[in-house]
Amino acid sequence: MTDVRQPAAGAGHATASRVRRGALPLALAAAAAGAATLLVVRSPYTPLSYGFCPSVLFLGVSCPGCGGLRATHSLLTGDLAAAWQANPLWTVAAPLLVVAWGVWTVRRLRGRPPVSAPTWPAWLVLVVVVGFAVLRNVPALVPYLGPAPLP
Amino acid sequence: MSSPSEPLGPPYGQEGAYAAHAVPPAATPRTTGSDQPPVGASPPGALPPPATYPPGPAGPPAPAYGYAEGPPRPPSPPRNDLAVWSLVLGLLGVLGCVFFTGIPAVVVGGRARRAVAAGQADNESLATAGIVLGWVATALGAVLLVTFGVLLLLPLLFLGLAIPFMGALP
Repeated sequence: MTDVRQPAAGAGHATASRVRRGALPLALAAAAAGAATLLVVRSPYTPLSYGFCPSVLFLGVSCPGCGGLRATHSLLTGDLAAAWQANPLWTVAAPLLVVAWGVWTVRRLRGRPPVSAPTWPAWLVLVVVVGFAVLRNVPALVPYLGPAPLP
Repeated sequence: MSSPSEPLGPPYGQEGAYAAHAVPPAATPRTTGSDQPPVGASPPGALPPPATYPPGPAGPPAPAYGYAEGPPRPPSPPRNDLAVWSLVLGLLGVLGCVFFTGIPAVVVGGRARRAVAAGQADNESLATAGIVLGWVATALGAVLLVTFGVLLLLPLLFLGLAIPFMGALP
């Protein structure tokens, strides 16, 4: 996970600044790894293991993240079908986030400027997430997009 | 999750009030790394030049329009994506993702404002909206965490821990 390549020349000072630049991505990775370990050890498929989503409890609707813990657990244990059943959006988005983290970290460690992207992906993300939130609460689509009921 | 505060540049409010109107220093291509803020965005004491439209970062020669009045439209600044991302992340945070996207919205919004100060973007109001929404989302998440988490989730967590042992009770 740590793609730290030592340069052939210019160690010393360059290494110190690389350590400083890589602190934030590596801290985020450590936090994510800790959460992943917790999710693997303590399965969210056990009822009440992590409580309720406040969206379900207070509003009675599934938020876009509902089923995310179960999907993460299933992704980490290699059960892609179960992950898709729990939260299809997160099943697609989580690997993309990992890739984005990798690109960000490598560019940061090499001291290159961050990626400059066009603006339409941001709006696309907003539309997809809000649309997913609406569609997964449509009764006819709940079996396909909604979080599967806990056993 | 640790607050991803990046030691990237000057804190908010030090970019200079006239930075957006000054001649953008980004006319020279940005070659610094992501960690170095563009220095010399605007000297604190320097008066801004009289209000003219800033030339575009690349500054192509003005096409000779037949009946064009006024200066040519500068090309779209290269870092306008930051403010849009900040706004979208803030909106998602307010809509329910709380601090998971609220904190990134604040961070990206800060970078967007720095890009505006450096003359690489022109949508500062969008960045401000993203920052405000990000803070609102973060506060919403904190309130939810305190009320819901401490009052309800923690007892449920202990109940969940205790369930395997409940069969042993008489």
